[in-house]
Amino acid sequence: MKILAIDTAAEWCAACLWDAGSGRALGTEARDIGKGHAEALMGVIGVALDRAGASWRDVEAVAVSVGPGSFTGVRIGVATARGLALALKVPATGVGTLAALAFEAAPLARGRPVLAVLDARREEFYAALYGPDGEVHAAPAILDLKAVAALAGLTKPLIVGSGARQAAAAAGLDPDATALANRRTAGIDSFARLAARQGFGGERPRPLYLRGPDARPQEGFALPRSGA
Amino acid sequence: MMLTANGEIRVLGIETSCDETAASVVAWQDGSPPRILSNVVLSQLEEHAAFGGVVPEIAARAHVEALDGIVEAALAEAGTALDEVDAVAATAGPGLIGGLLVGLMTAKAIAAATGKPLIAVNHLEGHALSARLIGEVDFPYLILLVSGGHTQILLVEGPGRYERWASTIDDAIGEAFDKTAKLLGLPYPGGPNVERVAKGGDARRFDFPHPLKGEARPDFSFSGLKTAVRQAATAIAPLSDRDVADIAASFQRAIVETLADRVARSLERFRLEHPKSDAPTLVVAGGVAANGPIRAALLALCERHGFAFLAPPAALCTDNAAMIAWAGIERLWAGLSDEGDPMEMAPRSRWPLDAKAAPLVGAGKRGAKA
Repeated sequence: MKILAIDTAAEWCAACLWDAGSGRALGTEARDIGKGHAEALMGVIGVALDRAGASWRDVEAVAVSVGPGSFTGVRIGVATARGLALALKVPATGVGTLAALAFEAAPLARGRPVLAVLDARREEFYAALYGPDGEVHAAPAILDLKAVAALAGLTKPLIVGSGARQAAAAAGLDPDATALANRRTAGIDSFARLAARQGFGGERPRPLYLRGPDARPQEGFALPRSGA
Repeated sequence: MMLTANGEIRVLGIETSCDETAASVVAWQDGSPPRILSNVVLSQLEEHAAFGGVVPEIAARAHVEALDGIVEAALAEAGTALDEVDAVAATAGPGLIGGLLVGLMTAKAIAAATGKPLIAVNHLEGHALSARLIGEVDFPYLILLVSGGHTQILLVEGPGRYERWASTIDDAIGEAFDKTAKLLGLPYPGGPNVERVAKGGDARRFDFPHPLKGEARPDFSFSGLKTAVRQAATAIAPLSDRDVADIAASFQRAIVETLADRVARSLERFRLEHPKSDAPTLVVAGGVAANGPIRAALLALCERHGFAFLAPPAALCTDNAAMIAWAGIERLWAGLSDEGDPMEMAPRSRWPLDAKAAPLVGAGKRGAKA
Protein backbone atom coordinates (compact mmCIF):
# COMPACT_ATOMS: atom_id res chain seq x y z
CA MET A 1 0.00 0.00 0.00
CA LYS A 2 1.31 3.43 -0.94
CA ILE A 3 0.57 5.99 1.78
CA LEU A 4 0.77 9.73 1.27
CA ALA A 5 1.77 11.22 4.64
CA ILE A 6 1.54 14.94 5.39
CA ASP A 7 2.53 16.99 8.42
CA THR A 8 1.83 20.68 8.97
CA ALA A 9 1.41 20.63 12.75
CA ALA A 10 4.55 22.61 13.57
CA GLU A 11 7.19 24.58 11.64
CA TRP A 12 7.74 21.82 9.09
CA CYS A 13 5.66 21.45 5.97
CA ALA A 14 6.36 17.86 4.96
CA ALA A 15 5.02 15.12 2.73
CA CYS A 16 6.17 11.70 1.62
CA LEU A 17 4.89 8.82 -0.41
CA TRP A 18 5.56 5.73 1.70
CA ASP A 19 5.49 2.18 0.42
CA ALA A 20 4.24 0.06 3.27
CA GLY A 21 5.13 -3.13 1.40
CA SER A 22 8.84 -2.40 1.15
CA GLY A 23 8.88 -0.20 4.27
CA ARG A 24 10.56 2.75 2.61
CA ALA A 25 9.87 6.25 1.38
CA LEU A 26 9.50 6.52 -2.39
CA GLY A 27 9.68 10.32 -2.40
CA THR A 28 9.93 12.96 0.32
CA GLU A 29 9.84 16.74 0.55
CA ALA A 30 10.18 18.51 3.90
CA ARG A 31 10.60 22.25 4.37
CA ASP A 32 11.25 24.04 7.64
CA ILE A 33 9.10 27.06 6.84
CA GLY A 34 7.69 28.18 10.17
CA LYS A 35 4.71 29.90 8.54
CA GLY A 36 2.86 29.75 5.24
CA HIS A 37 1.81 26.09 5.24
CA ALA A 38 -1.39 26.83 3.31
CA GLU A 39 0.58 28.31 0.45
CA ALA A 40 3.31 25.65 0.46
CA LEU A 41 1.55 22.37 1.13
CA MET A 42 0.22 21.44 -2.33
CA GLY A 43 3.63 22.21 -3.84
CA VAL A 44 5.37 20.11 -1.17
CA ILE A 45 3.07 17.15 -1.89
CA GLY A 46 3.66 17.64 -5.63
CA VAL A 47 7.45 17.46 -5.17
CA ALA A 48 7.17 14.34 -3.00
CA LEU A 49 5.04 12.61 -5.65
CA ASP A 50 7.41 13.73 -8.43
CA ARG A 51 10.41 12.34 -6.55
CA ALA A 52 8.55 9.06 -6.18
CA GLY A 53 7.79 9.07 -9.90
CA ALA A 54 4.17 8.76 -8.86
CA SER A 55 0.89 10.49 -9.67
CA TRP A 56 -2.22 11.11 -7.57
CA ARG A 57 -3.66 7.85 -8.85
CA ASP A 58 -0.88 5.93 -7.07
CA VAL A 59 -1.97 7.20 -3.65
CA GLU A 60 -3.84 4.43 -1.86
CA ALA A 61 -4.22 6.02 1.59
CA VAL A 62 -3.57 9.34 3.30
CA ALA A 63 -1.98 9.80 6.72
CA VAL A 64 -1.96 13.17 8.42
CA SER A 65 -0.51 14.63 11.57
CA VAL A 66 -3.43 15.67 13.81
CA GLY A 67 -1.41 17.42 16.53
CA PRO A 68 -1.20 18.54 19.19
CA GLY A 69 0.52 21.50 17.62
CA SER A 70 -0.49 24.73 15.94
CA PHE A 71 -4.30 24.75 15.73
CA THR A 72 -4.14 26.40 12.31
CA GLY A 73 -1.36 24.15 11.05
CA VAL A 74 -3.19 21.02 12.12
CA ARG A 75 -6.39 22.17 10.42
CA ILE A 76 -4.51 22.87 7.19
CA GLY A 77 -3.21 19.30 7.17
CA VAL A 78 -6.45 17.65 8.24
CA ALA A 79 -8.60 19.62 5.76
CA THR A 80 -6.19 18.72 2.97
CA ALA A 81 -6.06 15.04 3.95
CA ARG A 82 -9.85 14.78 4.12
CA GLY A 83 -10.23 16.59 0.79
CA LEU A 84 -7.72 14.24 -0.82
CA ALA A 85 -9.42 11.18 0.64
CA LEU A 86 -12.77 12.38 -0.69
CA ALA A 87 -11.44 13.09 -4.17
CA LEU A 88 -9.25 9.99 -4.50
CA LYS A 89 -11.80 7.72 -2.80
CA VAL A 90 -9.12 6.36 -0.47
CA PRO A 91 -9.07 6.09 3.34
CA ALA A 92 -7.40 8.66 5.56
CA THR A 93 -6.15 8.32 9.09
CA GLY A 94 -4.80 10.68 11.72
CA VAL A 95 -1.52 10.23 13.57
CA GLY A 96 -0.74 12.19 16.73
CA THR A 97 2.49 14.18 16.96
CA LEU A 98 3.21 12.81 20.46
CA ALA A 99 2.71 9.21 19.31
CA ALA A 100 4.88 9.77 16.22
CA LEU A 101 7.67 11.35 18.28
CA ALA A 102 7.60 8.46 20.76
CA PHE A 103 7.55 5.96 17.88
CA GLU A 104 10.55 7.67 16.29
CA ALA A 105 12.46 7.64 19.58
CA ALA A 106 11.62 4.05 20.53
CA PRO A 107 14.89 2.58 19.15
CA LEU A 108 16.78 4.97 21.49
CA ALA A 109 14.74 4.00 24.55
CA ARG A 110 16.43 0.64 25.21
CA GLY A 111 13.33 -0.87 26.79
CA ARG A 112 12.31 2.24 28.71
CA PRO A 113 8.89 3.81 28.26
CA VAL A 114 8.85 7.00 26.17
CA LEU A 115 7.35 10.23 27.47
CA ALA A 116 6.63 12.67 24.64
CA VAL A 117 6.36 16.27 25.88
CA LEU A 118 5.69 19.34 23.76
CA ASP A 119 5.84 22.88 25.06
CA ALA A 120 2.26 24.19 24.86
CA ARG A 121 3.21 27.67 26.18
CA ARG A 122 1.31 29.38 29.02
CA GLU A 123 3.37 27.11 31.32
CA GLU A 124 1.58 24.04 30.03
CA PHE A 125 2.71 20.94 28.16
CA TYR A 126 1.17 18.41 25.82
CA ALA A 127 2.30 15.03 27.08
CA ALA A 128 1.70 11.33 26.58
CA LEU A 129 3.47 8.21 27.84
CA TYR A 130 4.07 5.16 25.67
CA GLY A 131 5.45 1.69 26.42
CA PRO A 132 8.48 0.33 24.58
CA ASP A 133 6.24 -1.14 21.86
CA GLY A 134 4.19 2.01 21.41
CA GLU A 135 1.31 0.99 23.70
CA VAL A 136 -0.36 3.97 25.37
CA HIS A 137 0.33 4.23 29.10
CA ALA A 138 -0.96 7.78 29.50
CA ALA A 139 -3.08 9.24 26.70
CA PRO A 140 -2.24 12.68 25.26
CA ALA A 141 -3.26 15.43 27.68
CA ILE A 142 -2.42 19.01 28.53
CA LEU A 143 -0.58 19.17 31.86
CA ASP A 144 1.33 21.62 34.02
CA LEU A 145 5.01 21.03 34.66
CA LYS A 146 4.34 19.44 38.05
CA ALA A 147 2.12 16.79 36.53
CA VAL A 148 4.60 16.13 33.72
CA ALA A 149 7.40 15.78 36.28
CA ALA A 150 5.29 13.33 38.27
CA LEU A 151 4.78 11.19 35.16
CA ALA A 152 8.50 11.29 34.41
CA GLY A 153 9.59 10.62 38.00
CA LEU A 154 7.32 7.62 38.32
CA THR A 155 8.34 5.76 35.18
CA LYS A 156 11.94 6.93 34.46
CA PRO A 157 11.23 7.16 30.74
CA LEU A 158 13.16 8.46 27.79
CA ILE A 159 11.71 11.95 27.41
CA VAL A 160 11.35 13.41 23.90
CA GLY A 161 10.05 16.58 22.31
CA SER A 162 10.38 20.34 22.78
CA GLY A 163 9.36 20.11 26.45
CA ALA A 164 11.76 17.25 27.27
CA ARG A 165 14.51 19.25 28.97
CA GLN A 166 12.12 21.13 31.22
CA ALA A 167 10.34 17.90 32.11
CA ALA A 168 13.62 16.11 32.90
CA ALA A 169 14.84 19.00 35.04
CA ALA A 170 11.57 19.23 36.94
CA ALA A 171 11.66 15.49 37.61
CA GLY A 172 15.30 15.68 38.74
CA LEU A 173 16.37 13.39 35.92
CA ASP A 174 19.67 13.47 34.09
CA PRO A 175 19.67 15.44 30.82
CA ASP A 176 20.67 12.20 29.03
CA ALA A 177 17.17 10.99 29.82
CA THR A 178 16.12 13.16 26.88
CA ALA A 179 16.28 12.78 23.10
CA LEU A 180 14.92 14.75 20.13
CA ALA A 181 14.61 17.56 22.64
CA ASN A 182 14.36 20.37 20.09
CA ARG A 183 11.53 18.80 18.10
CA ARG A 184 7.91 19.95 17.89
CA THR A 185 6.96 17.21 15.49
CA ALA A 186 8.25 13.88 14.22
CA GLY A 187 9.93 13.19 10.91
CA ILE A 188 7.49 12.59 8.08
CA ASP A 189 8.56 8.94 7.72
CA SER A 190 7.51 8.31 11.30
CA PHE A 191 3.98 9.50 10.56
CA ALA A 192 3.79 7.19 7.53
CA ARG A 193 5.19 4.17 9.38
CA LEU A 194 2.93 4.67 12.37
CA ALA A 195 -0.09 5.07 10.08
CA ALA A 196 0.80 1.81 8.32
CA ARG A 197 0.96 0.13 11.71
CA GLN A 198 -2.34 1.71 12.94
CA GLY A 199 -4.22 0.77 9.78
CA PHE A 200 -6.88 2.75 7.95
CA GLY A 201 -10.14 1.30 9.24
CA GLY A 202 -10.92 3.97 11.81
CA GLU A 203 -12.69 7.31 11.79
CA ARG A 204 -11.72 10.26 9.61
CA PRO A 205 -8.76 12.24 10.89
CA ARG A 206 -9.75 14.86 13.46
CA PRO A 207 -7.52 17.52 15.00
CA LEU A 208 -6.24 16.64 18.45
CA TYR A 209 -6.20 20.10 20.04
CA LEU A 210 -6.03 19.14 23.72
CA ARG A 211 -6.91 22.75 24.55
CA GLY A 212 -10.29 24.43 24.40
CA PRO A 213 -11.10 27.25 22.02
CA ASP A 214 -10.52 29.95 24.67
CA ALA A 215 -13.94 31.55 24.40
CA ARG A 216 -16.06 32.66 27.32
CA PRO A 217 -19.80 33.10 27.25
CA GLN A 218 -20.52 36.79 27.15
CA GLU A 219 -22.41 38.16 30.09
CA GLY A 220 -23.05 41.49 31.62
CA PHE A 221 -24.14 43.28 28.47
CA ALA A 222 -27.86 42.86 29.00
CA LEU A 223 -29.69 45.48 31.02
CA PRO A 224 -31.72 44.32 34.02
CA ARG A 225 -35.35 43.42 33.37
CA SER A 226 -38.36 44.23 35.50
CA GLY A 227 -40.99 41.62 36.23
CA ALA A 228 -43.57 43.47 34.14
CA MET B 1 -12.44 27.66 -21.28
CA MET B 2 -13.36 24.01 -21.06
CA LEU B 3 -16.86 22.75 -21.45
CA THR B 4 -18.41 19.38 -20.95
CA ALA B 5 -19.75 17.51 -23.98
CA ASN B 6 -23.17 19.13 -23.86
CA GLY B 7 -21.73 22.64 -23.52
CA GLU B 8 -22.61 22.85 -19.85
CA ILE B 9 -20.34 24.14 -17.09
CA ARG B 10 -20.72 22.39 -13.76
CA VAL B 11 -18.94 23.82 -10.71
CA LEU B 12 -18.59 22.62 -7.13
CA GLY B 13 -18.70 25.58 -4.73
CA ILE B 14 -17.38 25.68 -1.16
CA GLU B 15 -18.10 28.40 1.41
CA THR B 16 -16.61 28.57 4.94
CA SER B 17 -15.92 32.26 5.54
CA CYS B 18 -18.04 32.68 8.68
CA ASP B 19 -20.32 30.31 10.57
CA GLU B 20 -21.94 28.34 7.76
CA THR B 21 -20.26 25.25 6.32
CA ALA B 22 -21.63 25.04 2.79
CA ALA B 23 -21.19 23.22 -0.51
CA SER B 24 -23.18 23.33 -3.72
CA VAL B 25 -23.17 22.17 -7.32
CA VAL B 26 -24.38 24.64 -9.95
CA ALA B 27 -24.70 23.93 -13.67
CA TRP B 28 -25.12 26.39 -16.50
CA GLN B 29 -25.02 26.54 -20.26
CA ASP B 30 -25.15 29.60 -22.48
CA GLY B 31 -28.72 30.56 -23.30
CA SER B 32 -30.29 28.75 -20.35
CA PRO B 33 -30.88 29.81 -16.77
CA PRO B 34 -28.44 28.40 -14.21
CA ARG B 35 -29.49 25.27 -12.36
CA ILE B 36 -28.73 24.86 -8.67
CA LEU B 37 -28.30 21.09 -8.46
CA SER B 38 -27.67 21.18 -4.72
CA ASN B 39 -27.19 23.81 -2.02
CA VAL B 40 -26.22 22.28 1.33
CA VAL B 41 -25.68 24.58 4.32
CA LEU B 42 -24.78 23.52 7.83
CA SER B 43 -25.27 26.39 10.26
CA GLN B 44 -23.15 26.60 13.41
CA LEU B 45 -25.74 28.80 15.11
CA GLU B 46 -25.96 26.62 18.21
CA GLU B 47 -22.20 26.37 18.69
CA HIS B 48 -21.94 30.16 18.94
CA ALA B 49 -25.24 31.03 20.67
CA ALA B 50 -23.81 30.99 24.20
CA PHE B 51 -21.13 33.48 23.19
CA GLY B 52 -23.49 36.06 21.68
CA GLY B 53 -21.59 36.04 18.39
CA VAL B 54 -19.34 34.01 16.15
CA VAL B 55 -16.17 32.79 17.91
CA PRO B 56 -13.49 32.32 15.22
CA GLU B 57 -11.73 29.32 16.81
CA ILE B 58 -15.02 27.51 17.44
CA ALA B 59 -16.06 28.21 13.84
CA ALA B 60 -12.78 26.86 12.43
CA ARG B 61 -13.08 23.70 14.52
CA ALA B 62 -16.62 23.09 13.32
CA HIS B 63 -15.72 23.66 9.66
CA VAL B 64 -12.89 21.09 9.60
CA GLU B 65 -15.11 18.44 11.19
CA ALA B 66 -17.99 18.98 8.80
CA LEU B 67 -16.79 20.16 5.42
CA ASP B 68 -15.90 16.90 3.66
CA GLY B 69 -19.26 15.43 4.64
CA ILE B 70 -21.07 18.53 3.38
CA VAL B 71 -19.22 18.31 0.04
CA GLU B 72 -20.18 14.64 -0.26
CA ALA B 73 -23.79 15.52 0.51
CA ALA B 74 -23.81 18.30 -2.11
CA LEU B 75 -22.40 15.98 -4.78
CA ALA B 76 -24.85 13.20 -3.87
CA GLU B 77 -27.84 15.53 -3.85
CA ALA B 78 -26.77 16.89 -7.24
CA GLY B 79 -26.38 13.36 -8.59
CA THR B 80 -22.95 14.48 -9.73
CA ALA B 81 -19.70 12.54 -9.48
CA LEU B 82 -16.54 14.58 -8.98
CA ASP B 83 -15.43 13.49 -12.49
CA GLU B 84 -18.41 15.38 -13.89
CA VAL B 85 -17.43 18.64 -12.20
CA ASP B 86 -15.55 21.12 -14.41
CA ALA B 87 -14.00 23.23 -11.69
CA VAL B 88 -13.89 23.75 -7.93
CA ALA B 89 -14.67 27.24 -6.60
CA ALA B 90 -13.98 28.14 -2.99
CA THR B 91 -14.33 31.31 -0.94
CA ALA B 92 -10.80 32.62 -0.32
CA GLY B 93 -11.85 35.76 1.57
CA PRO B 94 -12.83 38.07 3.09
CA GLY B 95 -13.82 36.42 6.36
CA LEU B 96 -12.52 34.51 9.35
CA ILE B 97 -9.12 33.10 8.45
CA GLY B 98 -9.51 29.75 10.24
CA GLY B 99 -12.62 28.82 8.32
CA LEU B 100 -11.29 30.18 5.04
CA LEU B 101 -8.21 27.98 5.42
CA VAL B 102 -10.32 24.85 5.87
CA GLY B 103 -12.42 25.61 2.80
CA LEU B 104 -9.55 26.66 0.59
CA MET B 105 -7.32 23.69 1.54
CA THR B 106 -10.18 21.24 1.01
CA ALA B 107 -10.81 22.80 -2.40
CA LYS B 108 -7.11 22.73 -3.28
CA ALA B 109 -6.94 19.04 -2.37
CA ILE B 110 -10.03 18.14 -4.40
CA ALA B 111 -8.93 20.20 -7.39
CA ALA B 112 -5.36 18.85 -7.37
CA ALA B 113 -6.35 15.22 -6.92
CA THR B 114 -8.93 15.37 -9.72
CA GLY B 115 -6.98 17.63 -12.06
CA LYS B 116 -9.73 20.28 -12.11
CA PRO B 117 -9.10 24.01 -12.06
CA LEU B 118 -9.44 25.78 -8.71
CA ILE B 119 -11.13 29.16 -8.64
CA ALA B 120 -10.52 31.31 -5.57
CA VAL B 121 -13.69 33.37 -5.13
CA ASN B 122 -14.18 36.61 -3.22
CA HIS B 123 -17.15 36.06 -0.89
CA LEU B 124 -18.47 39.53 -1.71
CA GLU B 125 -18.38 38.72 -5.43
CA GLY B 126 -20.49 35.66 -4.60
CA HIS B 127 -23.13 37.92 -3.04
CA ALA B 128 -22.80 40.52 -5.79
CA LEU B 129 -23.47 38.02 -8.60
CA SER B 130 -26.02 35.88 -6.73
CA ALA B 131 -28.95 37.82 -8.22
CA ARG B 132 -28.04 36.43 -11.64
CA LEU B 133 -28.57 32.92 -10.29
CA ILE B 134 -32.29 33.54 -9.95
CA GLY B 135 -33.20 36.00 -12.65
CA GLU B 136 -32.04 37.84 -15.70
CA VAL B 137 -30.24 40.85 -14.34
CA ASP B 138 -28.06 42.69 -16.81
CA PHE B 139 -24.92 44.60 -15.93
CA PRO B 140 -24.55 47.19 -14.60
CA TYR B 141 -26.68 47.09 -11.47
CA LEU B 142 -26.39 48.12 -7.84
CA ILE B 143 -26.04 45.73 -4.95
CA LEU B 144 -26.70 46.57 -1.33
CA LEU B 145 -24.86 44.09 0.86
CA VAL B 146 -26.11 44.09 4.45
CA SER B 147 -24.90 41.48 6.93
CA GLY B 148 -23.19 41.04 10.27
CA GLY B 149 -19.85 41.79 8.66
CA HIS B 150 -20.63 44.08 5.75
CA THR B 151 -22.64 47.15 4.84
CA GLN B 152 -21.89 48.45 1.39
CA ILE B 153 -23.26 49.45 -1.97
CA LEU B 154 -21.41 48.33 -5.05
CA LEU B 155 -21.85 49.05 -8.72
CA VAL B 156 -21.61 45.68 -10.44
CA GLU B 157 -20.33 46.10 -13.99
CA GLY B 158 -19.42 42.48 -14.58
CA PRO B 159 -17.48 39.62 -13.03
CA GLY B 160 -14.33 41.11 -11.52
CA ARG B 161 -15.55 44.66 -12.17
CA TYR B 162 -16.87 46.49 -9.12
CA GLU B 163 -16.98 50.02 -7.83
CA ARG B 164 -17.71 50.56 -4.19
CA TRP B 165 -20.04 53.50 -3.93
CA ALA B 166 -20.81 53.45 -0.23
CA SER B 167 -19.66 51.67 2.88
CA THR B 168 -20.08 51.86 6.62
CA ILE B 169 -17.62 54.12 8.38
CA ASP B 170 -17.92 52.16 11.64
CA ASP B 171 -20.16 49.19 12.52
CA ALA B 172 -21.84 46.82 10.09
CA ILE B 173 -25.63 46.97 10.14
CA GLY B 174 -25.90 43.40 11.44
CA GLU B 175 -23.59 44.32 14.30
CA ALA B 176 -26.00 47.08 15.30
CA PHE B 177 -28.82 44.51 15.45
CA ASP B 178 -26.71 42.01 17.40
CA LYS B 179 -25.52 44.58 19.93
CA THR B 180 -29.01 45.96 20.45
CA ALA B 181 -30.30 42.42 20.96
CA LYS B 182 -27.59 41.71 23.54
CA LEU B 183 -28.39 44.91 25.41
CA LEU B 184 -32.06 43.96 25.54
CA GLY B 185 -31.25 40.41 26.65
CA LEU B 186 -32.60 38.89 23.41
CA PRO B 187 -31.03 35.65 22.21
CA TYR B 188 -28.47 35.34 19.43
CA PRO B 189 -28.76 35.86 16.48
CA GLY B 190 -29.93 39.39 17.20
CA GLY B 191 -31.48 40.37 13.89
CA PRO B 192 -34.47 38.01 13.77
CA ASN B 193 -35.12 38.48 17.49
CA VAL B 194 -35.10 42.29 17.36
CA GLU B 195 -37.49 42.08 14.40
CA ARG B 196 -39.73 39.65 16.30
CA VAL B 197 -40.14 41.71 19.48
CA ALA B 198 -40.32 44.98 17.49
CA LYS B 199 -43.61 43.79 15.97
CA GLY B 200 -45.40 44.47 19.25
CA GLY B 201 -43.61 47.73 20.04
CA ASP B 202 -44.23 51.44 19.63
CA ALA B 203 -41.71 52.60 17.02
CA ARG B 204 -42.38 56.28 17.92
CA ARG B 205 -41.69 56.06 21.65
CA PHE B 206 -37.98 56.77 21.16
CA ASP B 207 -36.56 59.11 18.57
CA PHE B 208 -33.17 57.58 17.91
CA PRO B 209 -30.62 59.35 15.68
CA HIS B 210 -30.35 58.72 11.96
CA PRO B 211 -26.57 58.83 11.43
CA LEU B 212 -25.44 60.74 8.30
CA LYS B 213 -29.08 61.26 7.26
CA GLY B 214 -29.39 64.04 4.72
CA GLU B 215 -25.66 64.22 4.04
CA ALA B 216 -24.51 64.17 0.44
CA ARG B 217 -21.93 61.45 0.96
CA PRO B 218 -23.55 58.06 0.41
CA ASP B 219 -21.95 56.16 3.30
CA PHE B 220 -23.41 54.44 6.37
CA SER B 221 -22.77 54.78 10.08
CA PHE B 222 -24.33 52.81 12.91
CA SER B 223 -22.18 53.25 15.99
CA GLY B 224 -23.90 56.49 17.10
CA LEU B 225 -27.28 54.81 16.88
CA LYS B 226 -26.00 51.91 18.95
CA THR B 227 -24.76 54.32 21.64
CA ALA B 228 -28.04 56.25 21.67
CA VAL B 229 -29.99 53.02 22.12
CA ARG B 230 -27.78 52.01 25.02
CA GLN B 231 -28.14 55.38 26.72
CA ALA B 232 -31.91 55.49 26.32
CA ALA B 233 -32.33 51.92 27.50
CA THR B 234 -29.97 52.35 30.46
CA ALA B 235 -31.90 55.44 31.56
CA ILE B 236 -35.16 53.50 31.94
CA ALA B 237 -33.76 50.16 33.18
CA PRO B 238 -34.94 47.79 34.60
CA LEU B 239 -36.74 47.12 31.32
CA SER B 240 -40.24 45.75 31.08
CA ASP B 241 -41.35 43.64 28.11
CA ARG B 242 -43.10 46.76 26.85
CA ASP B 243 -39.85 48.77 27.07
CA VAL B 244 -37.91 46.08 25.21
CA ALA B 245 -40.50 45.95 22.44
CA ASP B 246 -40.61 49.76 22.14
CA ILE B 247 -36.80 50.08 22.05
CA ALA B 248 -36.52 47.33 19.44
CA ALA B 249 -39.24 48.91 17.31
CA SER B 250 -37.79 52.42 17.62
CA PHE B 251 -34.29 51.12 16.83
CA GLN B 252 -35.57 49.25 13.79
CA ARG B 253 -37.43 52.35 12.59
CA ALA B 254 -34.23 54.38 12.82
CA ILE B 255 -32.31 51.71 10.90
CA VAL B 256 -34.95 51.44 8.19
CA GLU B 257 -35.26 55.21 7.72
CA THR B 258 -31.48 55.67 7.73
CA LEU B 259 -30.97 52.90 5.23
CA ALA B 260 -33.60 54.33 2.87
CA ASP B 261 -32.03 57.79 3.06
CA ARG B 262 -28.50 56.46 2.47
CA VAL B 263 -29.41 54.07 -0.36
CA ALA B 264 -31.35 56.84 -2.13
CA ARG B 265 -28.05 58.67 -2.73
CA SER B 266 -26.68 55.77 -4.74
CA LEU B 267 -29.92 55.30 -6.70
CA GLU B 268 -29.74 58.98 -7.68
CA ARG B 269 -26.10 58.62 -8.68
CA PHE B 270 -26.87 55.55 -10.80
CA ARG B 271 -29.62 57.52 -12.60
CA LEU B 272 -27.17 60.34 -13.35
CA GLU B 273 -24.36 58.09 -14.54
CA HIS B 274 -26.47 55.59 -16.45
CA PRO B 275 -29.30 57.70 -17.89
CA LYS B 276 -29.93 55.20 -20.69
CA SER B 277 -30.40 52.21 -18.41
CA ASP B 278 -34.04 51.23 -19.04
CA ALA B 279 -34.21 48.72 -16.21
CA PRO B 280 -32.08 50.00 -13.33
CA THR B 281 -31.96 47.41 -10.61
CA LEU B 282 -31.09 47.32 -6.93
CA VAL B 283 -30.20 43.90 -5.58
CA VAL B 284 -30.05 43.28 -1.85
CA ALA B 285 -28.05 40.46 -0.28
CA GLY B 286 -26.72 39.39 3.09
CA GLY B 287 -28.39 38.12 6.23
CA VAL B 288 -29.96 41.49 7.16
CA ALA B 289 -31.84 41.38 3.84
CA ALA B 290 -34.12 38.83 5.52
CA ASN B 291 -35.55 41.63 7.74
CA GLY B 292 -39.15 42.29 6.67
CA PRO B 293 -39.40 46.04 7.38
CA ILE B 294 -36.03 46.62 5.67
CA ARG B 295 -37.19 44.74 2.58
CA ALA B 296 -40.46 46.68 2.54
CA ALA B 297 -38.67 50.02 2.85
CA LEU B 298 -36.22 49.17 0.06
CA LEU B 299 -39.05 48.03 -2.18
CA ALA B 300 -40.90 51.31 -1.60
CA LEU B 301 -37.72 53.29 -2.20
CA CYS B 302 -37.07 51.48 -5.48
CA GLU B 303 -40.64 52.10 -6.60
CA ARG B 304 -40.21 55.82 -5.93
CA HIS B 305 -36.98 55.89 -7.96
CA GLY B 306 -38.17 53.65 -10.80
CA PHE B 307 -35.79 50.86 -9.88
CA ALA B 308 -36.49 47.17 -10.01
CA PHE B 309 -35.88 45.62 -6.59
CA LEU B 310 -34.50 42.15 -6.41
CA ALA B 311 -34.11 40.24 -3.16
CA PRO B 312 -32.92 36.68 -3.68
CA PRO B 313 -34.67 34.10 -1.48
CA ALA B 314 -33.24 33.74 2.02
CA ALA B 315 -31.27 30.58 1.11
CA LEU B 316 -29.32 32.58 -1.47
CA CYS B 317 -29.22 35.86 0.49
CA THR B 318 -27.44 34.49 3.52
CA ASP B 319 -24.09 32.75 3.22
CA ASN B 320 -24.26 29.79 0.86
CA ALA B 321 -22.05 27.94 -1.59
CA ALA B 322 -24.35 28.14 -4.63
CA MET B 323 -23.34 31.78 -5.02
CA ILE B 324 -19.67 30.76 -4.81
CA ALA B 325 -20.12 28.07 -7.48
CA TRP B 326 -22.00 30.60 -9.60
CA ALA B 327 -19.28 33.25 -9.20
CA GLY B 328 -16.85 30.55 -10.33
CA ILE B 329 -18.96 29.91 -13.42
CA GLU B 330 -19.19 33.64 -14.19
CA ARG B 331 -15.41 34.00 -13.81
CA LEU B 332 -14.72 30.98 -16.02
CA TRP B 333 -17.13 32.22 -18.67
CA ALA B 334 -15.63 35.71 -18.60
CA GLY B 335 -12.15 34.18 -18.97
CA LEU B 336 -10.95 35.67 -15.71
CA SER B 337 -8.12 33.92 -13.94
CA ASP B 338 -6.77 34.30 -10.45
CA GLU B 339 -3.62 36.30 -9.85
CA GLY B 340 -0.88 33.70 -9.53
CA ASP B 341 -1.27 29.98 -8.98
CA PRO B 342 -4.40 29.35 -6.90
CA MET B 343 -2.69 26.26 -5.42
CA GLU B 344 -0.24 28.66 -3.75
CA MET B 345 -2.87 31.12 -2.67
CA ALA B 346 -3.35 32.03 0.97
CA PRO B 347 -6.83 33.02 2.09
CA ARG B 348 -7.35 36.72 2.75
CA SER B 349 -9.21 37.86 5.84
CA ARG B 350 -9.52 41.25 4.13
CA TRP B 351 -10.19 41.49 0.45
CA PRO B 352 -12.11 44.50 -0.89
CA LEU B 353 -13.91 43.90 -4.19
CA ASP B 354 -13.03 47.39 -5.32
CA ALA B 355 -9.28 47.62 -4.72
CA LYS B 356 -9.25 51.30 -5.69
CA ALA B 357 -11.80 52.48 -3.14
CA ALA B 358 -10.35 54.28 -0.15
CA PRO B 359 -10.70 52.19 3.00
CA LEU B 360 -13.21 53.74 5.41
CA VAL B 361 -12.91 51.22 8.20
CA GLY B 362 -10.45 48.65 9.42
CA ALA B 363 -7.56 49.93 7.34
CA GLY B 364 -4.62 48.36 9.11
CA LYS B 365 -1.56 46.54 7.93
CA ARG B 366 -3.79 43.79 6.55
CA GLY B 367 -5.42 46.35 4.28
CA ALA B 368 -8.98 47.53 3.90
CA LYS B 369 -11.56 45.28 5.47
CA ALA B 370 -13.87 45.19 2.50
